[in-house]
Amino acid sequence: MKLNRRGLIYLGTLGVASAVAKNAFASQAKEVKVADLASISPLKPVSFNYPDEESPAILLDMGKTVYMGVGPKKSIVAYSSLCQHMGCPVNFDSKSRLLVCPCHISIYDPARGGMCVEGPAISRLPRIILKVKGNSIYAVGVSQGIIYGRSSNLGR
Amino acid sequence: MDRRDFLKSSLIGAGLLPLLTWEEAKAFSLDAELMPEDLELPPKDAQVFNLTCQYCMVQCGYKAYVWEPGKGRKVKGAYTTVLSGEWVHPYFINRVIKDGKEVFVAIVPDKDCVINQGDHSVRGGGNAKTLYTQRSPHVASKRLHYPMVRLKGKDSPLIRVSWDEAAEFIAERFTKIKQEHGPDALGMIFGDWLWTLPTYAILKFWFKGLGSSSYAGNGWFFDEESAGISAAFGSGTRSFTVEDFETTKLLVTAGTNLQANGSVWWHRFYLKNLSVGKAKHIDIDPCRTLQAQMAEKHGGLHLQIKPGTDPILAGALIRLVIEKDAYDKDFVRKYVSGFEKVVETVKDPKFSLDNASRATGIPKEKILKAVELMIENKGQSMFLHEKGLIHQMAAFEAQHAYAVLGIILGNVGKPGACTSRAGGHPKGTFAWPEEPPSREHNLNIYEGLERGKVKALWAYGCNIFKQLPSLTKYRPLMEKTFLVVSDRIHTEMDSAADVLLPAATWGETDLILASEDRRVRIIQGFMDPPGEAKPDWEHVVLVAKKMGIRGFDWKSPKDVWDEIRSQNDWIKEMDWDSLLKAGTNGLRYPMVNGKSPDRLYSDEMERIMGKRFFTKDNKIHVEKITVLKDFDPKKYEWGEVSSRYPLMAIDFRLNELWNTGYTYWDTPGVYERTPDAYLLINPVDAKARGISTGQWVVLESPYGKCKAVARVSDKVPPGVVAMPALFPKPEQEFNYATRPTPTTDGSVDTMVACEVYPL
Ligand code: SF4
Ligand code: FES
Repeated sequence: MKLNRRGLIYLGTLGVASAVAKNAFASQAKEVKVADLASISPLKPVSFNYPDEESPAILLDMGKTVYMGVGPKKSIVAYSSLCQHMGCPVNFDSKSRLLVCPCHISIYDPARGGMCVEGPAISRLPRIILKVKGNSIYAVGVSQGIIYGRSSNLGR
Repeated sequence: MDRRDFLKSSLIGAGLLPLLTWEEAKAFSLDAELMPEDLELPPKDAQVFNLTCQYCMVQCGYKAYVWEPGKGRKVKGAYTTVLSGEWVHPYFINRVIKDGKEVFVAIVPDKDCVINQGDHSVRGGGNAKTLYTQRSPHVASKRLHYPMVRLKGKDSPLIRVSWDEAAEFIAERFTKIKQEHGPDALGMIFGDWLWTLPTYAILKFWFKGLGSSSYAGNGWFFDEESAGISAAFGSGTRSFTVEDFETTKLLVTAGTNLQANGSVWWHRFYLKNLSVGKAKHIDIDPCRTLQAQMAEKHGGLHLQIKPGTDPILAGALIRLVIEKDAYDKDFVRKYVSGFEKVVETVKDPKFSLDNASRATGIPKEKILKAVELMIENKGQSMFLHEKGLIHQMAAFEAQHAYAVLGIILGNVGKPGACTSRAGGHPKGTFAWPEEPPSREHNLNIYEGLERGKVKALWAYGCNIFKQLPSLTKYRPLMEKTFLVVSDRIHTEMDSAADVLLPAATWGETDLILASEDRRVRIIQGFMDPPGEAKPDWEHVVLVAKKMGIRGFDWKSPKDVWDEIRSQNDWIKEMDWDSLLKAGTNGLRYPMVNGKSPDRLYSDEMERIMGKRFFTKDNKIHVEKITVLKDFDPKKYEWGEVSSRYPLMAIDFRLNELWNTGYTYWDTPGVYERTPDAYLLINPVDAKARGISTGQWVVLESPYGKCKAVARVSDKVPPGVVAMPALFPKPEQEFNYATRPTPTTDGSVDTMVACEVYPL
């Protein structure tokens, strides 16, 4: 299965990442540049890691004002991209505008705080707090939950 | 958009997604943001207990880890990987009281349990959130802490008393009622899924102690829900093993939404089998559920059947299989008795393809494609059915017909192949004390209530103002009785109860339950119950002793278990210590000389048990198929559809609610999904009534009404509306509109003709 393969690839990188302690992320929540505003277009997801390389995240411009959105239209949000059920990476389905986990079909709504609307996940996707500075977007913290695989959202 | 604006906007038009109401939406912003940021994980030397989930029949294994606050592990960064079953979600952890001291507990899906391998559903994932803790005023205030009685009748207040006083009060009233009106004036309704030990205790007390035959289970009134399948195999016991979901070539589900209520089974089927193209799925359901959509997406079928017409569809499928001469001849010759009756029955014109398509609303091509898939995968298919058949009109006919279809295709007792109920609740009954002879004429407790014969009721692990049908009529009758309630929480029954007895529950006492694939496990107690709550079986012991009834001298859960297992050959070898040792994988029944078959009706079963089926002649019996000859949908609920009640209402089980509404629904992340009961209504029907998504509507039947939030959706066909069963909010309970008549097999019937209009 395609999506499973992604999971496996992710597993591979994880192994490497956890073997090497990274200094890019301090132990406290810190600012990480995600993208320039100009490079973001509606419904085109941007991948990044936060708070460290072990935890992939996804940034989305929903094209309209949404809960906790930032940017000129208050339309940009970001979430941990690891499913809160058992950690498979979620995919953005641009047709339904939902984040779908391929493993057991947990479905999350990025326009509504990442709440889970279907499937086995018991909580929302942790939301990456965003801040616009100048022409860029920065990840500055994590809200509402703990990122899959961790016991704290603080970086290494 | 700030929080307030968001909440307002979410009240209007959110398409087909769940809608938040204002009341619930408050939690949307607050609760979830209050999740802990930095968790303590179970330390290496944590105390470990074996558990199985407190909810559905899949019975996933869990471990409880208990440790002293501050002694847990702190880990930086990611400590586990995808699908490992090792991650401790923040909701898995709670603080509870054990031996009088506060401890941390983590309830973690057990990756060593063969059933779930570390997986969980949205329901089981909340197990820890339901634990009693003063730190959650919300959870704490729901629980019953002390026995309470109304000393001076229904208008007097409930006051706290000692256990001794409560037992005395019940004993006096029961004795008096029995003396004046005979034993059958004492009625009892029990949660038919309840833990093994308390179930046995109440049945023994009722039948042998009191001599009463007035009782019902919450899902059925008489006979059993498995009648249609036990007619074939001699038992309704589920025959498959969980691994079959990963190896089957074709899953055929009728009236059972495994994605939503046998979730971990479906997860295994989906991830390891369906989604990787190894298997197909045919889902027979009036609703286009997510499971149905996934079945189609991966090359299978959704047969969107007109509710209640299953006997016609099954009859037509059987006829096609026979016409194509594609049934499993060897299997039928060797093991099946009555095949000629099948051949003869399905010759009736009502089972022709044309008629079946007309009657069921399923296009002919789809029926033909279904037969093709079934034939292609004969001997390698799982045929599963459940409440969608059992709790509808003509339950016996539907259940038996699907059984016969699975059987003649040879889907019995082989790897990846079975013909079985899927199951609903875990198995909680292993011994059934002999019923008093009066039972023969005393099958329906509702009749007893109506005629004023039933003077007292003991609601035992069952919310009788919620889980029984036709409540608009029968609740007032039940309210008038001398009402004893054994429950863990406060419910709407408080308002009429003469006695409330607080039950110690999951985690607070040792319990025993079995999974649908026949694994018996001890669920260990790992914390203190609230206040003076006691296990339900002890409620029975106290009352029995006060009444001077002998045979209730159990001192521990083990004593009760020993008495149960001495009465059932299938489990008699399973003593308490071997069960404890067997941990979350448990021991499987039926067990003979330490051996148990993985699948029933298999070669292995024949080797171990000396027989293949539970019937007297060791054959499968399909003769009862002749009941299909008289089947006519109009004789049942469809006959009640009229210009006044033009729609047919059915209920369904909601993933996040099923089996859990009394506990888990209240946790954030779940109730924000479904803050209120909703009603699925087809766009055609909605338009004709001026109903739009998000609007409150009333569902009214000839028997009563309830309310829900409309979701206009083509998930239901025109003419059919659907709403979740057992929604935990006042006035949103479908059972206030359901019919009073149990179906032919005695199970509770949940289809009803209705009209729907804006509130
Ligand atoms: S599938 Fe059933 S047993 Fe397993 S976690 Fe969910 S509710 Fe519990
Ligand atoms: S890992 Fe996402 S649904 Fe199971």
